Amino acid sequence: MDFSISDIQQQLARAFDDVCRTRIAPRAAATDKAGELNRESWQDLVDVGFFRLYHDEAYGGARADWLVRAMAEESLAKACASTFLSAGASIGLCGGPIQHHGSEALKQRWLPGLVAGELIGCFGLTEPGAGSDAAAIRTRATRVEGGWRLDGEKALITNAPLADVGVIMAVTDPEAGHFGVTAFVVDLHRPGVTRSAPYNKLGLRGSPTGGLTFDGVALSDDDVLGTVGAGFIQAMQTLEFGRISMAHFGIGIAEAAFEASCRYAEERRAFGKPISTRQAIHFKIADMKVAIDAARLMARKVAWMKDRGLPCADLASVAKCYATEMAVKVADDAVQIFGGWGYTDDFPVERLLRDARLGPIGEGTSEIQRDLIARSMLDT
Amino acid sequence: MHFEVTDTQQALYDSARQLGERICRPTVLERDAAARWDPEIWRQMGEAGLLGAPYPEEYGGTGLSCVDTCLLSEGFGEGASDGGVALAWGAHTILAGVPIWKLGTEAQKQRYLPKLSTGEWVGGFCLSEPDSGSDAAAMKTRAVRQGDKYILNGRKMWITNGPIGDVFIVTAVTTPDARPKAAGISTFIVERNFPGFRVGQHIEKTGMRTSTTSELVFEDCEVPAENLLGMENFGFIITAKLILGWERSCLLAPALGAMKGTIDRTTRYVKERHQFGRPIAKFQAVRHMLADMRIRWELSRNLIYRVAWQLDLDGDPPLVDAAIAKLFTSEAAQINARDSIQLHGGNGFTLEYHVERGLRDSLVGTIGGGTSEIQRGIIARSLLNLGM
Repeated sequence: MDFSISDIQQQLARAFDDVCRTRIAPRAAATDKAGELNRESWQDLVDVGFFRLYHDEAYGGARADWLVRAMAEESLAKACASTFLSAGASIGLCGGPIQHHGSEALKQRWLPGLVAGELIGCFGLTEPGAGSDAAAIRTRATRVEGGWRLDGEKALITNAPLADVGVIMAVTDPEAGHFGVTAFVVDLHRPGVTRSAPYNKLGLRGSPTGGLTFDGVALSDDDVLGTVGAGFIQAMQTLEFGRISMAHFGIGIAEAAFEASCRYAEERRAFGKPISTRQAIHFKIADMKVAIDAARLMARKVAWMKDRGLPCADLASVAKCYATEMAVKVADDAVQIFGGWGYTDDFPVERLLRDARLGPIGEGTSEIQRDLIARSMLDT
Repeated sequence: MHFEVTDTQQALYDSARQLGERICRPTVLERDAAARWDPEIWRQMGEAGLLGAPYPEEYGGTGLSCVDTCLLSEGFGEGASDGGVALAWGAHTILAGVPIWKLGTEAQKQRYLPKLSTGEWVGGFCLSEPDSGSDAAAMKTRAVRQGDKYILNGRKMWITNGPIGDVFIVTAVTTPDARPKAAGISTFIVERNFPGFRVGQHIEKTGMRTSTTSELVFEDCEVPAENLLGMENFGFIITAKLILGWERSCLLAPALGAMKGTIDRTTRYVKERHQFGRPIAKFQAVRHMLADMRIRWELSRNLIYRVAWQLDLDGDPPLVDAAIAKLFTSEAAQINARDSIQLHGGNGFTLEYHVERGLRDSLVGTIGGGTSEIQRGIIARSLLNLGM
């Protein structure tokens, strides 16, 4: 065992953290209010090479190990969770499956743009009537001469209002269950694609979410990701990636709430002394630190397993489930420490609480994570 | 960064688990009910190298790193399912032996470590008193130098291995007007047969009943000056700093093993137990409770091994990380113990399914070795100006 971070890993992580802290974080409140993706922050990510971390040199990337990405993701989530969510959906949930399963032509067509941050991607699995039960999707891709015809509706898709490209799951063989789902890489500027207005959401308001409707969208065989019928498995693999990323999302938000709480508790005075001197306050802060450390070590272990190529689906669920739930708790405690001011947008903690609340829902709800963990314990 | 457990380390873990299964588990229910200490178990632990696990081989020890000592004691904790014996091990190997090994003179190491390693002598650690627990520096036990001896007077409370111990690390005030008070406290190695030493009342406990606990009484107890451990007046500060990291990693590792054992026991139970025509393992509420037990165990394990790894680096003691590990693990162990009873239903409330004993054993975790409240204070103080 070795819990140290190498110098080179630390240097890389620090470079990202500097940009996140000094440039992206100061815009987070305004980004939330504007309710739109912050293009300046996006450009900062491009400039600092965030998107490149995930992809090979051949497509403009400079792939880093999972550990470095873990630290970079934490820094970004801490600075601006909205920007984190959109960036992750584009480069990870969309770019990831293209990289892993796509033909060379598909990779050449889409990855350089995603890696350069010029294109925005999304991942289309969820539908109005199918969330956790992903196999219940109804979007259909039917065989037609020369390719496929896509019909159906996707909902709650991060980046849908502005995405250029989507990895879209559709049923190609209704009789084949899990093996009847196929992933397509869809150019979202094609005729037949319409987008809903962005949803009005509790948090992560700087990351637009919307629905996509496909009405006879013409696709070619070249748009098939991997093989016909492999979509469900690909989706599950993508969600495992997303799960690990969501653990970093939780840790980053919790870290922001924790730091804000430390500062405020020392400055705010009541009954003649700083509230930090009260056990009820500083025990809460101690518990924040414990929870963040516990979550972070778990996430690091998963990253290490990924780098080693070890199977870690169950531990990814452990990390995701704990980190996202503790983030809600930490952000909620932060609001409590800030008292009345915590309930206003004069301070960042109300936004952190709203943002954190997606964690136990997105990329597989906490209930799904516990189902998966229990399955690994009971059904083997 | 890596979390690898090598094959050799896994073998160490497995051998300790098997030893615990063989020598402790068959009799643990009976010993718990009778609050009986079993010297034969102790002898076999000594033979297997558990009792001197971290000490250098030249003193009869096994020469393991702290990480390996944790793996060994974690494995033993899983196999033994016997919190009391694991606690006795901790008080002996970690709390008594480690200070002698790290702070003792060559003569002290030669005299005590070989006997502690075999288990011929049992060790213990004396800090708390009837009126000073968390506020340890408020202790009243006094040590006054007289010629080539120190004369100790006072009482030490809740001493694990007290009734059976042969050698104790004892803290006592040597400079009463020192400020802070901690800077006037020294540490001594006291043998059972020193004049003026006696075992006070035996203490009946809710859990950890397979270990013994008592008060120890020092009445003009004569301690040779060469039995001062470390520097006069700095014994407490240095010993406490040294011991905390060890106590909050190696001593907790058996609790991790016990958590693992409880999870496995409960997993088997819910698969076998049928209600409403199917195993209760088919019910989501049951499955999720079990998943949460697993989550707590996984998180605890990382936190504890981070401390052990830091101790092996031999730098500054990882006090805050140790407090984090101790706080999280001891609370997690209690929640898990309670949930395992819930999942065992009525059977969980009976003695024979072991899980009620697991809960009783887990209760000391958030009290001994610094309460959860003290840990939160340590963590908070490292982050904030608490104005004290």
